[in-house]
Amino acid sequence: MEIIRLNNYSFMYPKATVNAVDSMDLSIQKSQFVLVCGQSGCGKTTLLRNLKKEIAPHGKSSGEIYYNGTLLADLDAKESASKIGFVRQNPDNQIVTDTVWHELAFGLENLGLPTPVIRRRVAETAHFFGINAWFESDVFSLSGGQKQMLNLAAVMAMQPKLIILDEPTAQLDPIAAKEFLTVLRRINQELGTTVILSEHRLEDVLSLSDKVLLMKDGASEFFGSPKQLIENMAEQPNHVFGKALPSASRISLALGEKTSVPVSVREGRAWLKSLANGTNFDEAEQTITSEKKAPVLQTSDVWFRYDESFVLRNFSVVVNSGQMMSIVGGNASGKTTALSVMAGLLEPVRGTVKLNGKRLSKYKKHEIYKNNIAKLEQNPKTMFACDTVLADLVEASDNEDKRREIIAQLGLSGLLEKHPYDISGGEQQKVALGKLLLMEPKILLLDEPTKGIDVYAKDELAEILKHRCTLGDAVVIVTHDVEFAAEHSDECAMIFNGEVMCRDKARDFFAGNMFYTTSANRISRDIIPKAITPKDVIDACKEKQLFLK
Amino acid sequence: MQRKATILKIVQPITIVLCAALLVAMAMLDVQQTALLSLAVVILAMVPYFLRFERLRPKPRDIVPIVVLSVIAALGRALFTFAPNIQPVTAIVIISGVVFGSQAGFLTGALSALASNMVMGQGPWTPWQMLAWGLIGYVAGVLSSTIVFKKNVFLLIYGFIASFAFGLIMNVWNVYGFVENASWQAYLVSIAASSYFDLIHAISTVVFLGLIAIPWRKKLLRIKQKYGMDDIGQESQSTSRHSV
Amino acid sequence: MKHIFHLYYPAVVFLYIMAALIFSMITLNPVCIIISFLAASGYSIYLNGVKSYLKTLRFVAVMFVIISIINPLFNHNGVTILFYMFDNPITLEACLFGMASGGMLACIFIWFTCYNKLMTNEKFLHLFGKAMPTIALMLSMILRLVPTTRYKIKCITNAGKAMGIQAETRRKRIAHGVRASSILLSWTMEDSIETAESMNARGYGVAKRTSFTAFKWSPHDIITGVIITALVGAVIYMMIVPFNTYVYYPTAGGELIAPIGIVGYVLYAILLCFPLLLELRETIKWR
Repeated sequence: MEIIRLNNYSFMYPKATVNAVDSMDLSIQKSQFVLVCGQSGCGKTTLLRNLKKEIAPHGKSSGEIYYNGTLLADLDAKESASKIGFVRQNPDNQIVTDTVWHELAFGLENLGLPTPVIRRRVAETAHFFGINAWFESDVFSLSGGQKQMLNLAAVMAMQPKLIILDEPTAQLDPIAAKEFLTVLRRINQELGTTVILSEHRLEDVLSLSDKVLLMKDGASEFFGSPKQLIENMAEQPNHVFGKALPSASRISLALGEKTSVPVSVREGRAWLKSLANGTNFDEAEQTITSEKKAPVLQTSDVWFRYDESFVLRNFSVVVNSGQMMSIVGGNASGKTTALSVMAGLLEPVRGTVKLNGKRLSKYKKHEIYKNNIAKLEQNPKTMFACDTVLADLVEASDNEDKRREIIAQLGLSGLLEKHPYDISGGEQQKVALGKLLLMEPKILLLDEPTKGIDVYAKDELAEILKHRCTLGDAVVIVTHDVEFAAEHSDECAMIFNGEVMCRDKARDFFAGNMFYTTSANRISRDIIPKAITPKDVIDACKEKQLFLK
Repeated sequence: MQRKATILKIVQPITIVLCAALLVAMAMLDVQQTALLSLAVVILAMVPYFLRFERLRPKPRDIVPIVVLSVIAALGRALFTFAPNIQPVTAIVIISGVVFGSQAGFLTGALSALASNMVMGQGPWTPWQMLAWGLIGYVAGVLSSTIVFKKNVFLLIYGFIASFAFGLIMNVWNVYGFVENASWQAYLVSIAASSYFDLIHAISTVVFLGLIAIPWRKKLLRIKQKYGMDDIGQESQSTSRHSV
Repeated sequence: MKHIFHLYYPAVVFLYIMAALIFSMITLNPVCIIISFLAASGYSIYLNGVKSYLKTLRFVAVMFVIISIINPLFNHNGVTILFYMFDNPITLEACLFGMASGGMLACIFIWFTCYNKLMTNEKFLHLFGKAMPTIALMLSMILRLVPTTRYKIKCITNAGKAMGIQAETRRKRIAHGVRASSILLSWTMEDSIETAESMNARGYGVAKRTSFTAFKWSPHDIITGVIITALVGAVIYMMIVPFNTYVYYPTAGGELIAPIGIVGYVLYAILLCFPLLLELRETIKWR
């Protein structure tokens, strides 16, 4: 049975010249788990929103969308609201009321259901999602992962037949993201609810899906099973989307596998084992960089607390110029606080922060942030004060040459006349970074810079940051994103319970970790020592002449 | 539904006049227990506004700006507790009325008062503040449809006057709440006593309007346009819009 | 701190606290004022702690003194003239009346500290949610946004600081405040549009909204409600006749301690101390 059918559907935004969704034909069966992917701006979000008429964007459309055989436009309002659920990226903004139980009941109240029915449904839903423990909590006290779970639960309380999710895990840390996907899978399998999910982090989600829709420029480029998708990719080795595939698939595709491409870490490990077949890989040679880097920012024995309990305990790191350092760690490990202390925004209770050998407290405030330290907050929206991107950049610096240079460096020229709120998350990130770079800092501190941006934007960001490093700047990022940290940073530190537990060269760091490591490392552990990125694995195998022809 | 809402629109100003008359009558007839009665009258005066808003069946996009502005106003008020009577509420309420119409103006005013007192503690003064700020927002909304408010100067003047009007209303409470026999004399004394604070309030309102609220007007109008929001209760014609 | 009324149905709690507030507002009988003051103080200390109560008391005492002084200055009713001030007679009756109204207002203020603790926002929303569902929802949204927005303000200030935006002079500080406020407005407004869409997506406005509540009437609530109502009825009767026998003008006096009056005072005290008595019973039960 079909639940969604698109007949030659096109959609164009007002004032646009090209279709955001272009002659799409699509058929989605009941109880399927469908993954929608594609580069930012490919029309994923527009397509998904067109499937839910309450939040369909303004614009011109042609062709038809059917839900369960009924034209979507003719669908009864109550039916449409309850049978099609929608969850979006930002966990915070979707929550309407102040308490968890009220939020669960919100949709049911809208449908005009009597209290006993609501009471029952709310209880049932809370039970299924395991939110009994925080049922009476204030929404504000929840973590991001809990908030997103609440959003999903609030939609599920209305008992939809179809749920549409637009990058629901983009703002979550990896553990919360996995938990969210696990619940989503349960909903799909145990309740038979159809799921349409868009994601850019395919590592965990590809193996869950029945069908994958790959979009490009508003059109469907591919629609089929994940297996077919990967086989399809095998035929086009230079396809841009290749980068977004799970590590296991990337490794095996690069090594010439065409037919049984692994998707999950587990499959990848088995595949690699049979390929390696007992080959002895030597310890990768350490290219010891003898050039001594100068420490520019140094914390020693820093303690900090907001209330009774200490958030940072004996936090000590050294940041060198020309290097990118990643600080990784779980939720509430003190990462963000550590960054704020390093930026001089918080005064440590005990211990010192030294900038260029001089204590931070000895500096005048404006000296710290003038050509010295700059910090990028998690949310770039904290930095947009003006009505156009250009005006915002001018606010940071009125030196035109400098501005032109940064605009070129970050590729912002197409955005200048736009309002900062009308551009994508990745673009906002770049503009905010541009504002910071215009202050000509020597030390860049970034809080979760890869949150919510896709692989391509991440690569671009990495390039920009690496370029800064070659100019001699020091870059410190605080992140959940181990893949990014492994691939791009020179040095990694893990913070746990407010303390730096280990600090090492990125390679040694991840190779030494068992749980907190990259997928590529999980796949190749025990087979290839110290391989932490897909590239490491591929290079090591190629060196040993291990690849399929 | 719509008819009732229209009737309520006419009822709103009438109730205000009636309630004012009632308050005066209370004073003239030497009624006892004025504190309680006057509170009841004030609450009564707000009923038509709230009811009309309910009847209009506001859409989420009509609701959220009011909520957001009320929250910002309440937090702004909490931010300036150290300096009595310097607060941005009046300015924000005025801008809300100007941009989103008289109904939104009233609601922003009333909810700002209620919300800020949820933070700072409710008291018998809450309904009075709700009414006073509500009316400031309401009148701002009414005036916004006239040409007068096109010029920012008039907005500033209105802010100045409105702040004093706020003082006048709160002084009614001071008289009925604290003085045994309400009389013109007591009211005038009360006004005289509070005039210094009212002046500070008025000046702060003008400053906040000039610095913050007027630049906000542009931003709010952009958002209003971008998301196709209407003035609620202005009998808009754009019912054909399919989305929100 | 959890108190017994925490568990009761909001209407019962509202009935009690409104009775306490309204009765305190309408009676000037000195014994009633004293009873109300003691009951309010006791309950306020129980709910808010001694520290918080003393703070309230300090404020209330100042107010009491001011009103006690102001009334005789403006009111010259009464026959017992104490002395003349600016050619105006200051009467004993007006002084007493001033003290009575000062005491009454003090009671109201203290009762309000109890009200703030008892009528949690959740209870308040439940009571008015049915009559005005939209307004109630908006209040709930406001409660949700207050902490979120406060957090946003913090983020914006931090971002500004780390960009080298420092408040050194007063003029600069104002400029930065203006800048921060404008960022805050755009940010919260744009975010709230997403909230509006989330409301639409979940069917806001498709049907007549019902108001769900986690509160449920239990037999216990009904019994308590009936008892409070009965007490309220009795006290209303007392308010109309026996308590009113005390007058301030022209001469202060009246039957303060008539037999029926004493019964009335006891009932009044029971009503006002009702939750405290419930707490007492609970404590005994669990010991």
